[in-house]
Amino acid sequence: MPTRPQKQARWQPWLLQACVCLLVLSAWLTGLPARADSAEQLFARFEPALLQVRVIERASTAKSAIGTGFVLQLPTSGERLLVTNYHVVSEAVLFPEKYQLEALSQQQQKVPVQVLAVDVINDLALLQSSDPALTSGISFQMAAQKPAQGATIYSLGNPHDLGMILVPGTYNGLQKYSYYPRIHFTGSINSGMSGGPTVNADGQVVGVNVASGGNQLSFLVPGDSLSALLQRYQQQGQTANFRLDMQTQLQTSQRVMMDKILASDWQVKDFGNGKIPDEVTGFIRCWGESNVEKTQDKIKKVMAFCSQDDLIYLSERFSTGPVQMQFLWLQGHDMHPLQFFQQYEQEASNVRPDNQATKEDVTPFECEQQVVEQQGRKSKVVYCVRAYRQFADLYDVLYLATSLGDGLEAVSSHYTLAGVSADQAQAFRRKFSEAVSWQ
Amino acid sequence: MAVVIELLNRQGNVVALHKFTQPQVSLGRSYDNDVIVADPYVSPHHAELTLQDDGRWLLRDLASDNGSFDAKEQRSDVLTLSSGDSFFLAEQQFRIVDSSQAVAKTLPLDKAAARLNRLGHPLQLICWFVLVFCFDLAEHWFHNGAEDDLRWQQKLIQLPLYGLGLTIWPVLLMLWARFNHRHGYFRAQLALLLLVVLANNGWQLLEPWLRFNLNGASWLFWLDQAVVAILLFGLLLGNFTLALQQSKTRRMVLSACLVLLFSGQSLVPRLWQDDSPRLAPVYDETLLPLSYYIGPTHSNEQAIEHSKDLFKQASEQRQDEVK
Repeated sequence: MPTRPQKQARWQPWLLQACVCLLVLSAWLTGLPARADSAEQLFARFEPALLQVRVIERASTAKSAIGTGFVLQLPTSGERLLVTNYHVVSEAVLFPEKYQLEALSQQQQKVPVQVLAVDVINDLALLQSSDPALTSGISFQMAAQKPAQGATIYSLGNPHDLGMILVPGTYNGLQKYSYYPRIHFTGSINSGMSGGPTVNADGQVVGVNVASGGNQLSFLVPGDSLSALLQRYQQQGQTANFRLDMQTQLQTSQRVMMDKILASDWQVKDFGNGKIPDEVTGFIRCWGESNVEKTQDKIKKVMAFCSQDDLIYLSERFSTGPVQMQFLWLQGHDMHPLQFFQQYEQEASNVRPDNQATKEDVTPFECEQQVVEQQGRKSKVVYCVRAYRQFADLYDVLYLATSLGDGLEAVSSHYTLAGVSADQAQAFRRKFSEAVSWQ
Repeated sequence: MAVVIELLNRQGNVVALHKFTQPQVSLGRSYDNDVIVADPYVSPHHAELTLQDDGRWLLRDLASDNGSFDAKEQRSDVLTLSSGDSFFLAEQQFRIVDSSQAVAKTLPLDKAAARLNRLGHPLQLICWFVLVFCFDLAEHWFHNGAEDDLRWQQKLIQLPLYGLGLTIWPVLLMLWARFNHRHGYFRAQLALLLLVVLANNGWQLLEPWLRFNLNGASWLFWLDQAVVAILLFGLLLGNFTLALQQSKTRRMVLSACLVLLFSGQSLVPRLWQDDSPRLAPVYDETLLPLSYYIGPTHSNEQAIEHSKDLFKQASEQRQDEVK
């Protein structure tokens, strides 16, 4: 009986037609672009537009830092630029007499490059060269839309100088608590990939590789920040004085952040026998710990910390930006006040700035200590200030108030600010000292 | 007219004196000599001294095994010696002095030493020791009051050791004095040390209180250095007055030099650091209960207003050369 083969023969053309129709329909419905490259095709197509950016020390003519850069074509003018992270080229921007920049193409061709503009807050730099390696061939373009949460995106770069690679991962939106916008990318970005692009399936740039936060946890500068820098460059052209430009960027960005902190209505919470500020804005987060469960300890100790930890990278050993607050409540028993204050001194002393700097970057701390009466209670207040040598009206400040009494209870409150103006620092001090109180 | 023959030790100090009126004196290890030299390198009949007509003495070596030498240690069988000249038989040094030679001026008894000696009365010593131990225990209580009792027992066991440690320096000084044929003054030296330790302890109590009340004024560092230096100078000057037979100026110069050497250790880094930029903040950390504070209190506004100067100072330093 030939029934079954006949049936199959009749079925097959219909099934094929239906499948083709369905595919075309689905592609049309979901609006997928005509070129949906696979990862292999993507890499093969864009590899020529990826370069290794090298900071070369002039004296030794050897590289002192490496990163990745990518050729980007501006949508309006069609100009082609090399994009990388500011932290890759920072030494060459700050010390051009000591370092120079070059880019290494996929054909191992060395191309000298110059910095056009930087965004220190978002860690971006635009570079340029007249060499044909940059002015011709394939280039990247900005993505018009943000990817959907969970979409596969591809990070490109040269980790540890091992050669260009592609890392697939997922787009997970903006990092929730970061003060500066960063895309949360689930995929491994390693050092050396900094400055490389992260692209969608069409090879359009959605972000720039910037940092790694652990296993499969990486961060990207969003495409919006890059677009903003490109726009600024198109309007203002090449930056003439980088230090002055960075100073303006820092002052502006820090003013915006401090204004947000100062403008918000600080909520206070109970802390020991007093009150301290809680998470005063969305980007300041608090933690705490204590030893209250250890009944044998003669001093009960409760600690709370609040901070905005995002650092602005300025150079290899100089960073700024964080805001940190610390609170300590001590309660002693079975001891003399002199003994208690001896322990208190050890617990509360030895405060340090929370950002890194060298003596070439900052002046030594100028400190003063006074006994200050706040809300009817006396405390010893230590206040230290240092100025940034290269940037005007930017200071690091350090404040430590230790409550004074005759009993076995004490509260110390401490904060550090980095890269703020004198006025903002003073306004913060006023607001902070008024928010901390105890019985 | 007599002659004195002095036996000298390696340091040139007189260890024995022999006085003779006869014109001939024999020297050697044998018991039948006039000067018996108990030195294994000296021959039984080593040499002979004879008075010359001109009043000088002639030393003749009696074919000894190890020879006779002049003051410059040149071997010689016959030596002519005047009063005050020295000579060697083998390695043993002698000096020959005419009895008519004038002696040095009588040294006055050191009044300062006599006064210091009065400090060393045993009852007073016990009193100083008790006070030093009390200070030590009080300091321990202050720092470790919140700890368990085991530390207290350890501390009590350490006390005698601490006391013993304090005697090391007086013992050394005593030995030095004895070695130089001086009175040892052990108890006086010990009392002096204990008193200086007590004074230093008192200052260590006062200094944090001063720092706390003066809000860490920077001149307190120099005051602290000065007080410690003065105490050390007093101790050393007292020590040397008792132990050394030197003039007052020399004792003071010696003490001052040693004090400079000791305090230089903490002064030099401070002087250097003040010039070079530092990254960590430097401030006074002292905390004492409020009732120990008698200094000024500022309002919050005053304090904030006042700290404007800090920004000005920091800003002025921006352009300073980085050393």
